[in-house]
Amino acid sequence: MNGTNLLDIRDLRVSPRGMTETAILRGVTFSVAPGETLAVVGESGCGKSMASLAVMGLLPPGLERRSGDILFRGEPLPVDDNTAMRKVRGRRIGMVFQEPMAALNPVYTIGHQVAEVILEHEDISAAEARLRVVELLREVGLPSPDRIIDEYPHRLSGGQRQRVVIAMALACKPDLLIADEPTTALDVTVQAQIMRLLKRAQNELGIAIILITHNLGLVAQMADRVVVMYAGHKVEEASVQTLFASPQHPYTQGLLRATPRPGRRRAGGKPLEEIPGMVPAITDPPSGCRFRPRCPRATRECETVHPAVRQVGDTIVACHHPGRLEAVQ
Amino acid sequence: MPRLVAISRTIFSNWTLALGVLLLLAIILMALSAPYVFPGDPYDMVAPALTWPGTMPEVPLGTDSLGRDIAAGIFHGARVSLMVGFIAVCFALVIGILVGSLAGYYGGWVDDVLMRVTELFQTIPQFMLAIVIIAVLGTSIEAVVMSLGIVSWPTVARLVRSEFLILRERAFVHSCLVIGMSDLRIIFTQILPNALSSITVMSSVLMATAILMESALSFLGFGDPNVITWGTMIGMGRGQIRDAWYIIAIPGAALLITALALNLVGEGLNDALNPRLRKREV
Amino acid sequence: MSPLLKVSDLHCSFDTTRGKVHAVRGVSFEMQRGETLALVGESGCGKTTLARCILGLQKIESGDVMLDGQTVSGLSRRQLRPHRAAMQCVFQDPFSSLNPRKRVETLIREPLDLHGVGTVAERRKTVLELMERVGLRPDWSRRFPHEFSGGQRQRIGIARALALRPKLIICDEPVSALDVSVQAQIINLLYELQRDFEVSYLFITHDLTLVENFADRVAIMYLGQIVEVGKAGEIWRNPQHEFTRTLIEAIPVADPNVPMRGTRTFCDARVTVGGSS
Ligand SMILES: Nc1ncnc2c1ncn2[C@@H]1O[C@H](COP(=O)(O)OP(=O)(O)O)[C@@H](O)[C@H]1O
Ligand SMILES: Nc1ncnc2c1ncn2[C@@H]1O[C@H](COP(=O)(O)OP(=O)(O)O)[C@@H](O)[C@H]1O
Ligand code: SF4
Ligand SMILES: [Mg+2]
Ligand SMILES: [Mg+2]
Repeated sequence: MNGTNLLDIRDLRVSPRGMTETAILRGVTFSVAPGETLAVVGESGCGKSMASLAVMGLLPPGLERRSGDILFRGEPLPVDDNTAMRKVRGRRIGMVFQEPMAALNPVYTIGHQVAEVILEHEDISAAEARLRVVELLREVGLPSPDRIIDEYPHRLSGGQRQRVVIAMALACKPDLLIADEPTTALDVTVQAQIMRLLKRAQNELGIAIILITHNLGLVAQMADRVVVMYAGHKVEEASVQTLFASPQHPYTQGLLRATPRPGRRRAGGKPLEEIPGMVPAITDPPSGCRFRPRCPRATRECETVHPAVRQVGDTIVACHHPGRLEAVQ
Repeated sequence: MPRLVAISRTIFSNWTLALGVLLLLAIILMALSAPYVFPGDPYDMVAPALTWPGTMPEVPLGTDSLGRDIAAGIFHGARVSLMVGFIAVCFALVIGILVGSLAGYYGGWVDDVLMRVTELFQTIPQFMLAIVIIAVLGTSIEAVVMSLGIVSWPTVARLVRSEFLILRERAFVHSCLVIGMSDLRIIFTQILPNALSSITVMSSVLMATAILMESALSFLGFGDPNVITWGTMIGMGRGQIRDAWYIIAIPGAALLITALALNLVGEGLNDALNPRLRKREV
Repeated sequence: MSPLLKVSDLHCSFDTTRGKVHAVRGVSFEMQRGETLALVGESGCGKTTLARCILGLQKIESGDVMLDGQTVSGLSRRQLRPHRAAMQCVFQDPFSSLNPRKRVETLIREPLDLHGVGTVAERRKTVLELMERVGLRPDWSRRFPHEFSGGQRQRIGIARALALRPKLIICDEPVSALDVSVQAQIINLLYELQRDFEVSYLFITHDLTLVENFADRVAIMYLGQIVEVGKAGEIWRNPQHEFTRTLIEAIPVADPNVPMRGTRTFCDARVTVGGSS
């Protein structure tokens, strides 16, 4: 690919340690351009979180990266070197998780934890850091930041905690922010505010965002490009306009149709469109195409040959029979 | 039968548990065979006093200062130690589970009252309390069991209560209320089985503690003078610790191994009884 | 004919260390037989508490609950028992709502055993039929809950709730923990079961988009009160209450050509819930 990408992930494979047969990521390739928002979507268990943790060098102890390069600004990230990665985490790449409480330490104040991030990477005095923290908390929209700075995490609401975590992630003005289901645990009104905050941070700081979510509404509102993942594979990649206008992969089409559409009542029959079955267990994937047991278009070929990733029009898709489905809308 | 196979497979896939169970089985076998292997009274003099282990084939573990067979003492002592530990723990479990489950399930004033009582027992040091109870009841084996049970139940009650406090908030308990299940049935058929694994783990450790405590009591002369226990043997060997240290070392080792076996079983059970861990092995 | 469920001026509050939390503040509504009423609101607005009050799991402060013309609020556990069969519940968390130590067949049979429905053999048969009906393979009946996925566990929960042939099932966020595709499967299943079992649903959710095609009517709950009730679809087109409008605006539309909305910060008022007494 070209050298202007911020992040390049090439053929990333992740497996449980010592298990060569089972894989959690089976050769995932995608890239992020500076300043863009890439959405990664798919049902839970498809490997979205593991892909982002692999980038941060934070794979859980039982898992290992089998192969695959991770390039940041064209240079390989030292994901296996924890000391070197500490300079990257927070400074170059920030991260926001689904559960804000998991990212906050209950025994320290908000101010202490945000300041810690800054002091880790910058050589400034504690007093200066405190001023920066107040400013940051104000920027992420927390009310009366000079009071909240001395509060403990449990005293805040879920939305406020997530704002604190975002403040920590943005503290050193990183180039890339990875947000792993940042609003799944929050109410929709709070979700809207958090998304607005991320958009604003992106405009002001010019950061790129990887937004991991299973909410296609959020994807439509936030993303420039979309990667759809299924059972450890990238099955489709396209610009957000293309993906919503003409999804190619049956899985993407299924997800779009299963998403309830506000204000549009179905004429009759079942209330929602469903995708039959469920995501296969990583220990027991079907032969050929992983989506085959749930796919309405599956053929003999799908049973034996795993579909390779290829370009169809403006879309990158891994399917033997891609194409528009008549009644998507 | 397939159930038995499944159980033994769980045991042997886990070496801590396997070692613990093997050691424990050996000790139980010793206890059961004592009257056949050493039919006489272990207090009888059978050989010259202070015979060192390995010097006389008739008394492989030697004799003490009064010429009593140490091997016979170990075998008969195992009977007493295991029985005392087992009965004391059963006693503690019955009271502890009753008190803990009622306190944890109902909360409120029931919890307040029951926990006050439990704390009362816990503020007095266990060993002191045991001695006081024996002093009141007299030095018989029943009194020893009783005192050990009484000092052990508060630990069980606290554990059971904390398990119940968590489990009663789980939605499956609400689900049972919604179908109209009675409180007692919820406590004993729904919540208790979920607390059982931690109770089992704790029981084996409690039993080890009870056995050690029984020895300590016997060592200090609070045991039943008519039955031989490992603690009595250690107590009686005190005088010869310089020239015949084996008199203390052998029952000491027996105690150590028993306590170790029970702790290994406890730890092994902790892993084996957790259904989620078991699933991962498959 | 009297309504199936009639809740009148229900109040419920909790005493906490931070003062009194008035979780349900005068809720009234009615449900007809065979109807699906969706109760929509943000977390902490009192939906679960309201459900627990109706089910008799939570002491109410004042107000009445009438099921099928009979008052069920304020009854003792024993008095409530005969009414249990008529009113069941499906819970939010598919992982904690099933006893991990019970096999699926036991879980589904328990309500039948408790209420002495039929002979033992008949109960066994009913369990297998129910499993089949909710889309579980009957030969899975000897398995434990941890061997199932979240969606399958919710099916087990639905079978258990249906076992006594209730007239009303309260579904407390039954699909919130599930993926979109599985959500659709469960909602469709509930929809189909409704016709076969002639059951009404009080469907609690925080996701307004989910109930549009599923519910007959929608009630919007905010800070312990129902602020708006209307026909599904009608609410979307013509929201009356300010909070409903905020809620609808905040929902991201799955269409990249619709610009992002949701600028209002109506919900910040919620912070005061704990403080007011
Ligand atoms: N520590 C682990 N050991 C083994 N498998 C794991 C571990 N963590 C996650 N997995 C498996 O990896 C797969 C992908 O997980 P994840 O990336 O969290 O999915 P997503 O974020 O898309 O929901 C899942 O099937 C999960 O079971
Ligand atoms: N057992 C309880 N003790 C104290 N406060 C409670 C309890 N249960 C619920 N609450 C409070 O009541 C309010 C409503 O909670 P809940 O009914 O669970 O809301 P929802 O289900 O809509 O998310 C919340 O503010 C919550 O903190
Ligand atoms: S390759 Fe075949 S089975 Fe897989 S998604 Fe495409 S059509 Fe379906
Ligand atoms: Mg994830
Ligand atoms: Mg709730």
